[in-house]
Amino acid sequence: MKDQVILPRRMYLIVEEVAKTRKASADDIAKALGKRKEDIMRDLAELETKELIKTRHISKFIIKLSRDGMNYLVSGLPEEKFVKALKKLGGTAELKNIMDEVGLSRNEFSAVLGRLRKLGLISVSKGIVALNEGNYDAVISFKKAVQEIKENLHRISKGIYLHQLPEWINELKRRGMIEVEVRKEVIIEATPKLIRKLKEGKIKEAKVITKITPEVIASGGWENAVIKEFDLTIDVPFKKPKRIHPYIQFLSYVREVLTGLGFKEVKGPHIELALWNFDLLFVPQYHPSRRETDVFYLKNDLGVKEDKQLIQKVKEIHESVLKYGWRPEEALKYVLRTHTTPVSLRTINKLGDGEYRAFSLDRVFRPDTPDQTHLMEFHQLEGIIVGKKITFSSLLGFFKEFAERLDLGEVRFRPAYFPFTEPSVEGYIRHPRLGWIEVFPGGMFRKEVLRPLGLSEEYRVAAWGIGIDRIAMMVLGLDDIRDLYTNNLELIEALPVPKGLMK
Amino acid sequence: MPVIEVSIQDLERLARSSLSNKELLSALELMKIEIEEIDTSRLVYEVSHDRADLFSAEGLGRAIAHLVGSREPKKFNVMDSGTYVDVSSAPAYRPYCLVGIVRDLSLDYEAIRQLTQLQEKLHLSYGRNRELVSIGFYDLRKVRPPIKYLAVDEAEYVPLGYGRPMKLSEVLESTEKGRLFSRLVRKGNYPLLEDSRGEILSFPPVLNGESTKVTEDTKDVLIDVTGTEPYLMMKLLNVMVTSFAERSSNPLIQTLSIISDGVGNQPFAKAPQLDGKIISVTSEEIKALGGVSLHPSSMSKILQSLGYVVEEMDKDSVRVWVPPYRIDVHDRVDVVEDVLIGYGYNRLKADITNPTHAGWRHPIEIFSDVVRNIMLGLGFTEVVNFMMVDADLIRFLTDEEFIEVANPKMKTYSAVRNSLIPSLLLTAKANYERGTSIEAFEVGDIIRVSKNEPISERHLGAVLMGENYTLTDGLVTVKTLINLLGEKAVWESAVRKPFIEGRTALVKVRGVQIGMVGEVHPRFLSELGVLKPTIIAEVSLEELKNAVISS
Repeated sequence: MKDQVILPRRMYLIVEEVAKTRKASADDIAKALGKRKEDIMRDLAELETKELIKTRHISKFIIKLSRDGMNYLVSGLPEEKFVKALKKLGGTAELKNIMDEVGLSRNEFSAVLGRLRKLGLISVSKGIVALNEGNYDAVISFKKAVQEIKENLHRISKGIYLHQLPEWINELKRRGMIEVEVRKEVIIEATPKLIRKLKEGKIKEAKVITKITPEVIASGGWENAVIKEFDLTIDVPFKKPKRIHPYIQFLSYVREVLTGLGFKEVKGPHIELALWNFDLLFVPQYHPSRRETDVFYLKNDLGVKEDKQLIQKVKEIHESVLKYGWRPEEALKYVLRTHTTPVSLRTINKLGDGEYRAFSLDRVFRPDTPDQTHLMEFHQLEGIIVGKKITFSSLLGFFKEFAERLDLGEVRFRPAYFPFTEPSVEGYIRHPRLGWIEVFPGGMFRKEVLRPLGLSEEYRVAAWGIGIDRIAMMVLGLDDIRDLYTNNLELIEALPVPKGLMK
Repeated sequence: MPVIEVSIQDLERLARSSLSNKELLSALELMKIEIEEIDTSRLVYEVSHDRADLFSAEGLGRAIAHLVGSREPKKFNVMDSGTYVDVSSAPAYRPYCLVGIVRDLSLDYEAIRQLTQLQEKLHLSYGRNRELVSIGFYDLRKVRPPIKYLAVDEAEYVPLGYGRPMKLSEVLESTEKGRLFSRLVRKGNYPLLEDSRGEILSFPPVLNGESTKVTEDTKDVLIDVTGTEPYLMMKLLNVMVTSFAERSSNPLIQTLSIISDGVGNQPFAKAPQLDGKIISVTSEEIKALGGVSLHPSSMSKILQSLGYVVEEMDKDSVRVWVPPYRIDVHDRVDVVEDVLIGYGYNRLKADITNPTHAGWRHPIEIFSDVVRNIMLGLGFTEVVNFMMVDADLIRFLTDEEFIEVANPKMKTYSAVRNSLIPSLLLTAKANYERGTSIEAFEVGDIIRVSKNEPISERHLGAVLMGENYTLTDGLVTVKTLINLLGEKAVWESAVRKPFIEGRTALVKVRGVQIGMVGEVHPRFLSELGVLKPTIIAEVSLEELKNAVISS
């Protein structure tokens, strides 16, 4: 058993063919197997390492008559034509006259002229050519040479190939009568080992395994078998993926960016008193953003527990700066928060003076009718940078840094207005279809906002509240904001992971 | 934010300059204006709420004139009119009335249209649609001052736009404005504005009179502001008179005294008040906030182009007069902002310093991600639903209290979910038609009401829908999850909507109830149109986290 040779089907067929012919070209073998030569080259290499065949690489020259060669064979060689024409002109003639008579190209003519002179069959002097018919040696060798060339041309016209190029071929090639094409060839020969093994019946065709089973693995059967090749041109189906929601994946990435920039995540209640949602933010009670068309108020009659001192401080600020009758009952109404800025306020209120950064990334609510670009509920990325040296430039710098990390491109800034910040800014990025879109609203919290929260004068706060959904749509390549909040498994399974999250 | 429409030709007339599109666009950017529509004759723009002075062509034209330098900012020519408004008999529920005069105007159709637009936009943006402040203006030549603002039980006049006299009560019933604003006045105690002859100028805040209306022939106007917020009213009167003044080549503004005979608590003795504020800003402040060093002379130049009058300048500060129509300027920081805007936000350094502390995610988010990964490993796909759902759906599915919105825009979103069950059933419904089964989960916030207090809480919900699912599949999921977190789940049978009695399990960890698993009752499934067995598991991640951490 040990000296058996097990070959896959194709190799087995090759050695059979080689053994039959003893010596053949790779082309012929491939043809016999109904394959292309390149299909069997790997097999041949393997068979050679097993010493069952020997390969030799040789060149083969295919010789063919050129167009000129074909003409000469039919209507005579140029030198024959020349001699014939000279004879016709009486044995001597001016070069010009012969040229007119003989009808050769300028090149042919001068080549022939040189050749015949060298042979001594003609002599040329002062533009006159004379035939030396008396020079018998010359006449004989001329005839012999012509005869030989014509015979060779005749031979070649039937199609020949050679393994080397003899001088006479080179001569014809030089005279442009033939074309030589080189072909590389692999010659396969059977080794004595192959012949012997075949004779002893020790070369066998391998079994084919289509599926690996525990039995195949355990039995060792795979050793003498060939595992069937898969046809990769046949398409396979998709698998329904189990996955994290793409929007959640995006939000998670945003969290990673913020924590990377030194922000601590904070959270606050979804249901806020108007006090926190508006009044503490220096939004006057007559401001249109507090209208029922812009805020969800509650039907529930919930209990209110609020710091009386804080209420008093807010009242004083509104009445002394904005000068209108501030009503506590307006401030003590519950709302579904319209932004997460109250979360920032609560953070400042809790942490007080210090150098810190905080963010929150949660839902806010506004009475809108859902459509492709609007929702009554969406995510806001809220943040603050608190410190003695924090400036408006820190805020602009944050926007640029954030845009860079989310791969959003260039950021442009424009003045903006929010009741609770001064200066205020709106950052714009370029949307591939919509042009410049506003995505980064922010500013420095006013002292009217910070004073009731108990932050000392020397601390400043850069703040922003980004509607992150618009950016999410851009990054995820969605045109409909409702698709971010989707429970449609088909859509979730189909959305590709955004490139921006993989850079 | 208010949307304003102006005529380009009128704007150029007011700005005393012809404007290329490019000039106009860069000027508007500095004024927090966003263009909605523009063509050769018309500009529609959205302006931020704080810039009341830009709610019409008058103020916008003036601002552009200062910016392009066709006019220098200057203070107003104000004189006393020698006359007054008597508010001693004003209605107690709308006790204030301020009146001013602007003379030597030339008005045309477009001017009147603009000033009416201004009046309306101020009502909407500041006056809470006339509740707090109501503005009117009249042809002074048709009025005999002094003016009286008083309460009457009934009166008769020809309202603006109606060809016949009407009683006040009739105005409230049968005119469009009357029906709109009748809630702002009290029956038998109607506010009225009349002149010394008893001619009725207006029934504020409802409708002016026909006899004193402003036309293209009007040369001098009288402007009144009535309402409940005197300081706000003064600001808006200032904006009105200074805007009217833009319609004159040599405007004269006149004040009227306010006579109250000691009745009520009148904070002002006369109106309007156009003295303006004086505010100083230093180079140091600019540097500290904007990170840019500006010499006071550069600051002066910027502030002048934005309409401020430079009073004084020294080596490190500028003192400016703030025009009274800039009601958005409260103190120095507002002037600092204008300097930075004038300098150009895009020229400022944008530079976030290195963090002083490490950042980290909120613990519940870290825990949520741990749970998400386990659920993914258990073969579930994550879905996201809205927190807002139909109040009737919650009511149908549970007896627990929940948050309901008083002013929903749509019934579909009229409440906040108090559990993930409604969201998971909506998920089942949305995917019902598809394939043989779904295994999905959501990690999201809910708001429950406990002891009359709203509590936001992070929950995990899982839904299995398909022909072969039973309660076991839900229990297996929760058991494996809790096992992987190093704890043990204990079941306790219970009766809860919307689950089948006998196929509902409360989930307890260390004796604390953290959630529930159940097979949804066919009654609910058939009502929702989900005709396949549906298993739901819900766990409070806050409770689960506490249980895991405390051990």
